[in-house]
Amino acid sequence: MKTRLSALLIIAVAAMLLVGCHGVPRLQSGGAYAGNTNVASGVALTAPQPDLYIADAAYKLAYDAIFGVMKFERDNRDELLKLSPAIKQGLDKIRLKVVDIEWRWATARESYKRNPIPPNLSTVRLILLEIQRLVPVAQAELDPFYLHMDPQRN
Amino acid sequence: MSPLIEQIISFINLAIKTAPAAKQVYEDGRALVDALFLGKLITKEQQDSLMQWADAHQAAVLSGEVPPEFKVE
Repeated sequence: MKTRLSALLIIAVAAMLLVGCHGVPRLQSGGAYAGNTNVASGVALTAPQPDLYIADAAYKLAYDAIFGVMKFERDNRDELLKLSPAIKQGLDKIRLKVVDIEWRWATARESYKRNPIPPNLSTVRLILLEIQRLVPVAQAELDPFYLHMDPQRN
Repeated sequence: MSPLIEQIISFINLAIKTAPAAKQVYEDGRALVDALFLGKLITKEQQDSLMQWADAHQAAVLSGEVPPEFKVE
């Protein structure tokens, strides 16, 4: 059930990120996303990056959720294949999509880190939405397992 | 032991195995919600840990590394 809760949590966070109804994160000074200031002069050396923090945190959340599903299937493949071969078939299609998303995300994030301008961050965010959309899809592929565990769910 | 009981035990074990991964995702999600919507301070350690993960993950992906969990076997 916790897997389901985490899916709902991710969907809620993704929806709120989409409509932008979140606050600016409060970043403790000295942290990797907080920017640097010359202590003596008080002049900012590098700007804070709250938007990159949000993008990275949301990406990690979605990635970990999908990774958890894939690991569960791989670790228990023989048992799940006996239950339904469709689980692996469905997840294999998602695996291909994730590898593609991962490559584009890494390329886009590298571009943003080299040149932190808004259009580059927008690309990172658009790719983030793609992996977020895959979370409930990947988790739904395990439905035959959940139904087997709790036949009254349907 | 009857096959039915063996099957039930087998699937109970599967359910138990899903818990650790789900717990990590749930905790990450709560931390993000806390930071974005409850205004909690994101500590230096939390920021550094996330940046370290994102930079390392980015580098691994660009080097062509694909975890076995994402390979079609």
